[in-house]
Parts: sequence; C-alpha cells; structure tokens
Amino acid sequence: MLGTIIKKEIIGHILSYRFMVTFILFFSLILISIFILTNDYQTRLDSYKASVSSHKEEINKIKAIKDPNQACAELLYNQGLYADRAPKSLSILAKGLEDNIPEEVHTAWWQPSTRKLNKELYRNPIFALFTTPDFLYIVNIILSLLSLLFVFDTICGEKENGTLKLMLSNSLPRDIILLGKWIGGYITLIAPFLVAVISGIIYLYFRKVILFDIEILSRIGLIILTSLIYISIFFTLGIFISTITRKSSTALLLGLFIWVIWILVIPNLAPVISRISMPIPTIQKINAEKQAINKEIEIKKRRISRTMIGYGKEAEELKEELDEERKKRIGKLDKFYEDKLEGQVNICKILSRISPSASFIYTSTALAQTGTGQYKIFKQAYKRFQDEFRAYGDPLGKKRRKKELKENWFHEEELPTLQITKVSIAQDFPLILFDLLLLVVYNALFFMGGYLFFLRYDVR
Amino acid sequence: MLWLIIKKEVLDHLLSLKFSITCILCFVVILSSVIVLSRDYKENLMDYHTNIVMHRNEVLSSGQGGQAWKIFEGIKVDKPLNAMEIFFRNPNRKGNITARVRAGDEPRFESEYEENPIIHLFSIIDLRYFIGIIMGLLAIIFSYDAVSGEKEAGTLRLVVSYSVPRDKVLLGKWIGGYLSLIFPYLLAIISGLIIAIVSPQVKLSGANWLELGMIILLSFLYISAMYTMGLFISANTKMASTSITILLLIWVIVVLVIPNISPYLASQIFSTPSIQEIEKEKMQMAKAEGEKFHKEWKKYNEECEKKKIPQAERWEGFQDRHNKWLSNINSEREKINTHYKRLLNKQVKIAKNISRISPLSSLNYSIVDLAGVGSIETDRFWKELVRYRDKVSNYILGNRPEWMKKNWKNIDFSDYPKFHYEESKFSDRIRDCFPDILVLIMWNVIFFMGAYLSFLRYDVR
Amino acid sequence: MLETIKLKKIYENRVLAVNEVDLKIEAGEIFVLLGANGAGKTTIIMLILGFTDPTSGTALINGIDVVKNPLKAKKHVAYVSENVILYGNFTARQNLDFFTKLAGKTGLTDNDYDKVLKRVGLPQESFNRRVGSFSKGMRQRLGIAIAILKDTEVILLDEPTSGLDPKGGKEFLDILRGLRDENKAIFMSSHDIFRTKIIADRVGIMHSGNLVKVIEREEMDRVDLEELYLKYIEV
Repeated sequence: MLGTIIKKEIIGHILSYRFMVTFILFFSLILISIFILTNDYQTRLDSYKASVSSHKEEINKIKAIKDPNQACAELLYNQGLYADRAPKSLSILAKGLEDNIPEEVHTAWWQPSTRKLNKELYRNPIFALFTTPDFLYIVNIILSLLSLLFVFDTICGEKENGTLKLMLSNSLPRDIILLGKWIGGYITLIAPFLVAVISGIIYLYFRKVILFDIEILSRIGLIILTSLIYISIFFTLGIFISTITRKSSTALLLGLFIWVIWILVIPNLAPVISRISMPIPTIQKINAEKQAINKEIEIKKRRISRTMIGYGKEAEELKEELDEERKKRIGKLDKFYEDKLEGQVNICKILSRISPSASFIYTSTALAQTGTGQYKIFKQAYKRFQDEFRAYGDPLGKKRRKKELKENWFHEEELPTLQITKVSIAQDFPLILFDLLLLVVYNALFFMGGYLFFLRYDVR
Repeated sequence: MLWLIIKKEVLDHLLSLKFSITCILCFVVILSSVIVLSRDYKENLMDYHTNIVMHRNEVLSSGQGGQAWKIFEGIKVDKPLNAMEIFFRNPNRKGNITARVRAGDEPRFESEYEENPIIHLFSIIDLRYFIGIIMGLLAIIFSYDAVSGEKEAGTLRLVVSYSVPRDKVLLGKWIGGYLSLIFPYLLAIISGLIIAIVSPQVKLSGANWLELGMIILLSFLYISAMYTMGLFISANTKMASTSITILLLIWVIVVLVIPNISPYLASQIFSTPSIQEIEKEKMQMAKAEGEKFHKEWKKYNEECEKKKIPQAERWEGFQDRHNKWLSNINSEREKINTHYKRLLNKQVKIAKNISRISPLSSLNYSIVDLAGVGSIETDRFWKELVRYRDKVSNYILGNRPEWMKKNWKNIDFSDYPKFHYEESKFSDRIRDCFPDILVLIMWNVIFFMGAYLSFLRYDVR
Repeated sequence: MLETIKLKKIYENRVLAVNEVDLKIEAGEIFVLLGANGAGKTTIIMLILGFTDPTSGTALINGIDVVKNPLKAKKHVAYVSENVILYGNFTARQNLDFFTKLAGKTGLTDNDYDKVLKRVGLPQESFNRRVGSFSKGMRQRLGIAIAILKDTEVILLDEPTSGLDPKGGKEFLDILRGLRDENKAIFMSSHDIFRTKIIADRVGIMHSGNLVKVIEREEMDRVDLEELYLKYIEV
C-alpha cells in the first residue's frame, strides 16, 4: 500500500516541470559553486605556496649575513618572523571564516614593527557586498527555498484538484498517505541533489586540488548528511504548511513568509543583538590597559635600578618578580577579554539557533574546519607563535648585547613555527552533535505537526 | 476610469494575505534592524570617543619620561563614524576603524581579528539587505498574479468585456499594485527614520538626508523593476502558479546567485596580484632603498672623514639623507599601491558589469556609494591617511634635531598634527551612481514595455 | 441587437472553430445556442466580445463592428461568463460597485445594488460577505447581477445555468424573462436542453463550428428538441 503511494508520488513529481526545474537548478548551482570555489581555493593555495617560499628566502637572506650581530638584529628587530597558514581545503564547500583568519602572520621583537596586512585595500570590494556562493550558501539559502517550493501544495493542491477526496475514498489510513507522500517526495527531491553533489565531488577528485583521505572523505560525507537533514526540515515544513492551509496560494505565501523570517531575518539579526546585549570592551581598550601595566612595571623597575645600586642580585630578583607580576596581570586581562568574548559568542550561538540555518552553518563550518572553533585554534596558535618568538629571541638578544654571538648562532630548525592544532573528526564530532540533534528535532516537530493536522484535514 | 481600476487594485491588495505579510515583514524587519543597528552605533560611537581620547593621550604621554622616541612607533587615528551606518552597514568592516600612522611606513589598519567571529558568518540585516532581497521578493509576490491570476478567476475576461482600453487596465493595475506595495514599505521606513532621529546619539547631517532621500528613490526604482518584471511574466503566463514558479526561479538566480558569483568570475577572468606578492614587492623595494641609503651614508661619512667635518654638522647631513630616504620609500610604496589599485579597479569593473544583469547589483552599488560605506569612502580615507602620514613625518622629522638635543626627554607633543577627516560630499557620491540609476530605469522601461505588449495581445479566454 | 455575418475562426493549430456563422438576434429576443463541448459556442462569444479576432466575417453589436470599434461596441454588451470567480477578497457589493463604475455608471447607491442582488436571488446576509466564500451558484447569480446593472442592449451568457440548482435555475429563467421584457437582446450558450426549451425564442444548434440549424419558436412547440439536437450533431 505504502509502496503504491510512494511510487505514485515519485512518478507524479518526476513528470512535473517543477522536478525539471529543481533538477537543473540543483545541478547547475552546485557545480558552478564547486567550480568557482575550487578555482578560488587554487588561487589561495598558490599564493600560500608563493608566500611560504618568499618567507623562506627572507630567512636565507639572514643566513647569508656574515656578521652574527647584524644578522641577529635583522632577524629580531627588523625583519621579524613570518608564518603562513595553509588554506583549508574544505573551504571549497564551506568558506566560513576562512577570509577572516589571516593567511599570514608576522611577529617581531619590537611590537609596532609587527606587520599587519591592510587586507581591505587589496580585496575587490564587491566580494564583501554579497555572500560567498559556496555549497554551504547554496544549501542554506537556495535549496531550503527550493525544497519548500517543491512540496508546499502537496496536500492542499491535491485537495484543490479533488484527487485527495478520491484517494481517501479508498480504505487507506491517512498516516500511510502522509508517510508515502513524505518518502516519495523526499526521494525525488534528494535524488537530483545527490547526483549534483556526487558529480561535484568527482570533479574535485579529478581536479586533484584536495587530497582525498578517510578524514576528508568522512568530513565531506558528514557535510552532505547534514545538508540532507537540513533540506528535509524544509521539505517537512512544506508538507506541514500544506496540511494547515486549504488553498495552495495561501500555502505558498505562508511558506515564503516563514522562510524569509526564519532564514533571512533571524540568523542575520542575532549576532548584532547579542553584541549589544553583551558588549565587550574593544581590543584597543585592552591594549591600552596592557600598556598602562607595562608602564607601571617599568617605572617600578627604574626605581629599583635607581635606589638599589649595589644590591645586584637582590635588585635583579625584585625585577624578575615584577616581570612575573606583569605577566600575571596581563594574563588576567587577556583571560578577562577572552571570557567576555566567549560569553558573547555563546549568547550569539544560542540566539541564532532559533533558526536551523544557524545550526546548519555551525555544523558545516565546523566540519569544513572553517568555523569558530578553527578561529579560536588559530588565535591560540598565533599567540603561541608570538610567545615562542620572544622566548627564542630573549637569550639571543641578551647574547647579542654582550657580543657573545658565535658564527653558527643561527639554526633554522630552532625558529618557532605557527603550530595550528590539528583536530580530527572524532574530536570535532561531539561539538557538532548538539546542532545536528537540533536539526533532527526540527524535522520531527514538523512531521508531527503535519501528521496531526493531516489526520484532521477537511478534505471537502 | 483609470482611477477606478487603481482604487480597485489597491482595495484588492489591502484585503489580501500578501499585504498583511508585507506589512509585518516591513515593520518587523526595518524597525528591528534600525533599533538594533542604532544601539550598535551608540556602542561604536562611545568606543570611538574613548579611542580618540586614548590615542591622543598615548601620544601626549609618550613625550613624558625619557622615551619620547616612542613617537616613532606611530600615532593611532580613528575614522569618524558615519551616521548612515544605522541604515547601511559597511560591508567591508564591522565596527570601528583605527589606523596606525608611522613616519616611515604606510598607514596600517588595526586588526579586527580579535573580535567576535560569528558576525562574519552571517550577513547583517540592514536596509540594503532588506530592500535588495526581501523587498525584491515581496515585489514579485505582489505582481505575479496580476494578469494570470485574474485570468484564472475569470475577472479579466469580464473586465475587458467592458469598454476599457487594455492599456488603461494594465496601467491601473501597475499603479494600484505598486502603491499598495510601496505604502507599507514607506511607512516602515519613515518609522525607522523617526526612531533613528529620536535616539540622541545619532546626528544626521543635511547631506545625509539628501543621501537617504536619494537611496529611497533608488529603492523605489529597484522595487518597481522587480514588480514590473513580475507583471511582465504574469502577462506571459496563463496560470498564476506558473508565473510564481518562473518568478521565484528568476528571483533566486537574479538576487541570490548572479551578484554572488560575479566577483569570483571577475577574479578568475582578470586576476590581480595577491596581497602577499604586493607586500613582497614593497619589502624588496624598501630593502633596495635601504641599501642605497646605507651606501650613500657610508660614502658621506667617508667624505666627512676626509674633510674633517665635525660630528654635529655630519648629523645634519645624515638627517637630510634619512628624511629623503623615508619620503622616497613612502612615495614608492604609494606608487605600487596606485598601480595595484588600477589593476584592482579593472577587476571591480568587470565584476560590476557581469553582475549588472541583476538589478540587485545596481541597487547595491549605488547604495554603498551613496551611504558612504563603499570603496569610494575607503579610498578617500586611505588618501587622507597617506596625507596625514606625510604631515606626521614632517612633524617628527622636522622636530627631530630639537628633540635629540633634549635627549628625548620630557618633550611636549601637544602640537602634533591632528587628524581631520571629512566624508565625501554628496556630489562625489552621486557621480558614480548614474550608470546604475540608468540601468535601473532601463529595467523598468524594458519590463513595462514587455508587459504592455504582452498584455495587449494577452489571450483572456 | 446583435448580428454576425459570415463569422469564421480558424485557430493557429488549424482547427476550424467557427465556420461562416450568420446570426441575428433582435431586441426582446432570447437566442440559445446549443452544442456539445467544443462545438464552437464559446468561440462565437469570444469573437463577439473581441477577445479573439475572427479569421473573416464580422460581428456587430448595435450595428457597431467589434473589430473596428471594440471599445464603442463593448458599451452595448454585458457578459456573464461561465464559472466566474470574481474578486474573492471583495464583498458582493464591492464587486458590483467596481463593475458598475467600470461601465461608467455612477451615482448608484447601496440601495440600488441591494435591489439587483435581491432580484438575482442572493440572500440579504451575503451582500457584505467576501465572494471567496460564495458557492458556485451564488457567484453565478452575482455575475448576472453585474450584467443587469451594466444595463446594455445586448447580454451574452456563456453556460449560465451550469452551476445552478433546480430552484436557482427556475429563478434564473424568471430573471431572463424580465430582461426580455426590458427589450434586451439575449444571447446564451448552453447544453441544457430542458431549460432551453422553456425559455428560448429561437435555438441554434452548433456542430463542429457550423450552425447547422436554427429553430424558431413555433417550430419548437412542434418538435422534440432533444431528438432534433441529437439528430443534427450526429451528422
């Protein structure tokens, strides 16, 4: 019985022009998106590689300087150290924060000579005007709409045609009809989606820009799975809407209305709302406070140098204590800022989760390693990199001042590197579980709603 | 007669579900966006004021004590806030803009990397977003069934069985539907403006009002382009369900796809050097100049040695050369920047032209220009920063000998050059919008002509 | 009065819908066109209203050529279409008001509207109800009310009885008689032989585009219309 209905649904959909349109759109959009973003990734990868080699050259130039004192000064105070971040390969599917995490960081002994890239001057401003058309965007915005449009009139349309009456005049339980409609419709909806996605992956495979290992494949697989669950929310929502309306034009309007509010409005309003509901001090304020601490410590140190002449060892100890204090206070400040920021991020996440779009974005960017988790990891790595450079330069600087540097002072392998912690999918999975569950819950809710309303649907 | 049809159309729309939905969407989204963004603006304004004081104090206090040379570390300046950001966010930057200006370097923007990353995962809802995406959708929802829907209801047949010319019927429909679409939109915008004026921090200048008025006019053009497109499609289909399907399809492609892929296509058609390449070029240039300077200085030193010139005079000679070297580097850097900018502009132009198939792009380009949140303003700010950098360089290098004499101790920096920035004028802002305004008018004319011709021959049977 | 002279319509797909039909309906006469689905009845009405242009021949309303002078001609004709849905968001009165004004008639009051609505048999409570909630028969009555208020010399009705129940059908015939007494020329297409027999002054039988037979009133009393009809369409 169920089989008959599923078959009827599938055939009914496949023969409709709506299916043709969906198929063509899914196919062309997903492929265009993957094509464009693969090229984009390739460009970023090339520039990353060029950047790495040019930074290597810089190091070699330092090596070439004969005078160790001059070379050391050049490295510590003038040129500093660069590090590059490799672009994430799955940013092809979900670009996420990839553009907001620096590709290149720099550190030097003297803080102001830390070079920052004036990125906004070098980027085509049109990019910022419109959202990146990655797979994430296509599924999040466009496919959600298309799946809603695919089914918005599945019940009320059949009512208008009178076929619902005809169907119900047979001895068919209504739940079987609904289930059959759901299964049949969903299969016809995701078939073109899967065809498009798989063609995209095959294209990626032959482009050979990504190394396909188990890790990457399972991440891609999970992204696709999340997309399927996400799409199904809108599909089920469409069925639900069509069971609460009597006219398909009403169903369409209602569906569009819900979609606009849910996908276009709520997730895009949530970040600003959370920002004003939990303001955090600007980084400049924090930096100013840090400077104040530095100044205070410097003054104290100078006083020690002035007043404790002759107490060589004790004075040194006191100064070290002060350094310790500075470290502690600055660390506390950093932690205060981090906590505040974390709090804001969390509020933002909670607020935006009213919309499944946010859950979908969090999940797929986490899986593509372009999400907030990666942002944090990079920030920690950058901080570590800076600290290590100080730790590396400190003894060298002291030796240089004492003119104790030897010919072979420089060992390239001792240089600190930007160590971005690798996160395996097994570690990522618990983090996305909540959002994934939320997506499933939305599905269940709408299905239940659709079921309840369909049982009482007035077929006249 | 025309008036009667308009009245009927307006009444018909007022009683419809789509009108209620439009009202809800306009008021809820515009008002919440303006409220939220003006609160955000208030926060930013407070930060801006503290930043200014903080940054001035940094400079002044660096003169005290024995480390006045720290002025070489740079002076931080802040971009004044643009009150228009309550309605139109700067798509490139979220939050305040601070730049560090140093004597021998190009101005560098302070990184916003430390802030809440989630902001970047979503596109913030401002009026530009609302008009472009949501009003565009509402416009086609208002007109998709104007002809095909009435045909299905049989009323079209009835209406044309009266002695009413068809062009009057179409014009009446257009005006009536458009008025009922624009009415809630305009009302919501006006309420938004009132909210914005009422908040005490927000001061909109006369030019701002002019810009706002111009943007609202532009939005009328955009909305009517989308609306007339709906009418055109409606006059070419027999069933309302067909016209809405086609229109939603067009909307998806025109509003959600074309503008988004155009910059990527443009960057692949005409690629510009990456930021790293330019940085490398600048660094190499700086190194070469540095070596030149060192050589020259060595030569000068040797000459002085020969001529037995006293140390103090030699120092002057050094300073002259040093100053010249710094300004040389600065101007060379600017040359590289300008060259790059020219390439980038070419790419921008390609992207703009590709995307202009979509009326949304034309709307967006003119809005960001008019609101002063686009690249015109960024470029202008940059030029001002470079000019300011030169002033700072002159100030520091000019006073250096004197400060040297004081051994960099307790120096009064209170006469340091202050940064003034004035936003671009309305006339500059509007200049770049003309092509886009024309494009929008063209879409209106094309769609209306198309709708007109199709409706004259529309088969009402 | 209404006249067609050698009216012919061949569609783009070469289907001959109407073949040189000559008709003349005088004032104070009810003419009913009988025919099967697709016989060309509706096409004739469409041709008369100028919704589609004839391949050859002319249609005249009050002597005005509908192709040459469509707007002027339409001043003299009212039309009741089959299954009219009307403006679903409007009340019956609002619909009536709009179409009456569209005909150029101003100064009518709610009272006048109510009178017509009552005349077509709509219950008082429905005057201010949204037409969207009307049944098919009620909408049909409203369509007739709209035509009555247009107050023209010629009235075209396309399958007007298809949505009416027996009582409604009878009331409808009374309305038609009233209109005939007001000296209107009434042209109506139908496949309801029973009601045609009662009301028609003359009956035309259409078959595949041809007007195969016109039966006068006196002839109708003599013959069995149903038999005649079946005989002619089987040719």
